[in-house]
Amino acid sequence: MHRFIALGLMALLAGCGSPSVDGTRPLSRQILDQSLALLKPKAAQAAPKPEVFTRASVTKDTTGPVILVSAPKLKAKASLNMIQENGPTRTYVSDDGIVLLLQHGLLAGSRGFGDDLMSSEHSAAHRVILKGSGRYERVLRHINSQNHLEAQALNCSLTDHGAETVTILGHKHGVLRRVETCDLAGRQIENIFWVAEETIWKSQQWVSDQIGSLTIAQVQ
Amino acid sequence: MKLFWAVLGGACCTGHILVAEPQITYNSFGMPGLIDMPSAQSAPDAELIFSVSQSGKSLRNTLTFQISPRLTGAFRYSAIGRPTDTLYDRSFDLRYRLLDETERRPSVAVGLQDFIGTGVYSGEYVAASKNLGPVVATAGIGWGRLGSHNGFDNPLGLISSRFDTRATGYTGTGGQIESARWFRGPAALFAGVAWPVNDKVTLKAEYSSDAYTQEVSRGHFAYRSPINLALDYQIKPTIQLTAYAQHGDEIGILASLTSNPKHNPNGATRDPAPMPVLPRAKAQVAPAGWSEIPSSRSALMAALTPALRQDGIQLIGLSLTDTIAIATIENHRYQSQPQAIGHVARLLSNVLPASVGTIAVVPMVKGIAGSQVIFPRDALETHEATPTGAADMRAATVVTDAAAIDHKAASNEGVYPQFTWSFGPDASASLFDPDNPVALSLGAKLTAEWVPTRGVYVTGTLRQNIVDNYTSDPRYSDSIITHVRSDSTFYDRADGPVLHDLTANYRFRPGTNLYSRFSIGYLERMYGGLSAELLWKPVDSKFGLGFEVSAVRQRSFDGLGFAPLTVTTAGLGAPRSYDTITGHFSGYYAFENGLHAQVDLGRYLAKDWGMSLRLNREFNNGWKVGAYATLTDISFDDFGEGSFDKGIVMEIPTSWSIGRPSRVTRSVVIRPLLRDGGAKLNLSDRLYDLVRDTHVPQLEAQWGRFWR
Repeated sequence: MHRFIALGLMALLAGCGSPSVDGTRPLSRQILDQSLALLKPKAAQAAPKPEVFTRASVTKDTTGPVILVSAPKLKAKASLNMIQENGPTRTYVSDDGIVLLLQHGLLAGSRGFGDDLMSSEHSAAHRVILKGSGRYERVLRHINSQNHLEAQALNCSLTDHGAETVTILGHKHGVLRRVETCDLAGRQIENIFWVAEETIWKSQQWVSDQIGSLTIAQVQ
Repeated sequence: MKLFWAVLGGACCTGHILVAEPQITYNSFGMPGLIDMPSAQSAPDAELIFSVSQSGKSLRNTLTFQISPRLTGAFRYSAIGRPTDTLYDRSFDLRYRLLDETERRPSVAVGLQDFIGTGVYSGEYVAASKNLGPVVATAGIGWGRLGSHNGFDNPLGLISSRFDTRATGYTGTGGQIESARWFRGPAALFAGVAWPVNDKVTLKAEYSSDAYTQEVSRGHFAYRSPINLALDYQIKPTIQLTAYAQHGDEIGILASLTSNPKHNPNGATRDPAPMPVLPRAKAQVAPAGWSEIPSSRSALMAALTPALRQDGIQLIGLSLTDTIAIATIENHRYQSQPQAIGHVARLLSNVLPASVGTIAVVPMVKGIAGSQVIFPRDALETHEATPTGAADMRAATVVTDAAAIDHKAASNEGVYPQFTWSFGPDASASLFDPDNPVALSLGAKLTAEWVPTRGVYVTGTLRQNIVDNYTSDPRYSDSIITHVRSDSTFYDRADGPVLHDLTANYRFRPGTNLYSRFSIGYLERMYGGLSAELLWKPVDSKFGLGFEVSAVRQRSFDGLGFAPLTVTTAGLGAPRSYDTITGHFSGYYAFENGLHAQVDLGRYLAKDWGMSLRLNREFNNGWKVGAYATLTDISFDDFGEGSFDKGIVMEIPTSWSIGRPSRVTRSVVIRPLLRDGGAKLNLSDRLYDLVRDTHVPQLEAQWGRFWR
């Protein structure tokens, strides 16, 4: 009996089991780990060293397209390699499994964030971005708490802010800066595109409320 | 009442997104309202509110649910001090908002307070509420308890003199709907205002029509004034604290926690990203007849199995022709089957030779293949990242029955046998015993599952109690019919490791639209025996029919035997033996709006015949909130306190609180009285719930996650 109690107390502390069929730890263990993590003083976690991105470091494993993405709201930065191209859609993935779908440099979706952009209707936006200015409509779809896709129609206008030079990991590009302002349920979101000919070298594009905007730069 | 906090903690503490609607404040009965008085307001749709109020010698714990935008329901468990003891009372409320507020007109609601049961709080009202600037003004007329101060002749007496008098006491053993009393007897007026001073603070004042006759007669407090005053403080959007002064003589406090299954403040779960589609132009080209070569099939299996396992999905089988691939899978990770199906389809596109033009995924749940989801490979390539990709993909998809699939030929070697186990902490609770309203037990639980082959599941649970707050002297059931459930406390108290259940189940498909199960063993904590179930459920239907029959014998309080002791109010007696055949015909229907109905007709554990009705409001994210009631040929008197079996059921998905995908849910059943009439066998994994997850109505509801 006493031994059983001791075992029981051990279980309370640890919680254990065979690896579950989905290859993860038992749920009791996960919950326990989470609770323990909450108890730990925050300061004890050393801030990770800011990673230095150089052209050599982000292209060392690939000759294919690479983008450098920063998410100011999440205080995160990563390089993403293209892993698939399907028609106009390029799928980029980061080391930690975040996926971005880009069509001609425009964000067509994100995966792995949680509050992801599920799809984007931006064919009119693409035409105007290449042209220079105009008004058009966009549609963004997100998934809500009830697993329904929610479509949001945005009225946007784009203006040209003239020539600039952007430097992406040492490479300079002569570009035109074009700023898109969209009305999203009564508030404004701003996307910026640095365009040369048909190429969007750099952009700042809005994903969702929780993720905010991403800055995306085409490295190669 | 700590249990409620613990049970609801996971849900309520997460709260919900701030909505633009004005903040609703709650009264001491846990309903939208003033201090003691109700208002005509409703909470936001689907809001769940748990509130605790204490004033004088009255403690009220209320669970309130906004059943639909207009209908509010509440279950309350109160402790009311009496000179020598405490009265524990259960009560139910309903409120319906008849009219919405417009610029000129107030909103109007009609409500029943404590309309089932012993009627301690029973009262009815019609209330009107109107926003005057930021201030919400309410006025109304009450009957019963709400017509007890400054009452006047019932105006409904003009219609019929029957309305003039109200019977006192309650019918029989309580628990009956006392409709013969509603809106009868003297009526009185009440009124009040709620003034939000700022985002956090609301001041409330009311003229109460409740004279608190019983409480005053018991000397809880002196009744000096009908005016009550309150200050509400909004700690967080989900937590409200209220301090109030009642009748010029008493101070009370109220805390309410809200949560809403429709809005998760943490947003969608953080799911791992899927593999992108490989367009066929890039897929490998295999010579004609490749699918006949055994090594090509085993090579595909070897590539798919670990990749899917990484994603929480098991590859059960793969059947191939040169042009068609059918993968049978079991999804262990994603609450939404379309999400798992979408992941499998994309992975298949990466490994299948270009000649395969049609891909089918068969989602299996605990050994049962519920449907076959078929799509042209072209559609996967075309709709992967288009604006309406999910809807376009659904339009290109065909869902059919999966009964004809030859699992044997397609099976993935090495899937079976499977053995899994887990050992961890376990908490259990039994509620509403007047001697110990919240009986809690903390223990350790060992569960194991052995799956020797597809469809055969041997599962068992061993539990050891470690700490509990059980009283030294249990309450001996006074039930005059066979004690099929009411001795459950003796099962909870069993010493030593307890074999909670140990069952061998076989689930299979006897034919198209048909599903079947056989079970043998210790089926649940209190019964062992044999059980069989047959379900008819077409893959695209919202309607299902089932039949279940079980031959069972009641288990001993502890150990493996079948000789529970006789329990009388005098104490424990000799061992007895009880066996019975129980079974039901069941009808299931899934309404468009998330409402699910289940009707059971049949024979219950105490050999009583009758029917149960269960209504659940289900949310696409896995939340369920519902209620059930059972009426059988056992008379209300023989049933005893409460008159018939009824309860509230909640199911909360784990993914909601951890923010990551999971198929685990936590169920809470609140049964005001556990007695012997209308008792059912507690079988886990009944077929309908396993099957419908992979059927068209449910797939369609969750299809938005296909490309996630």
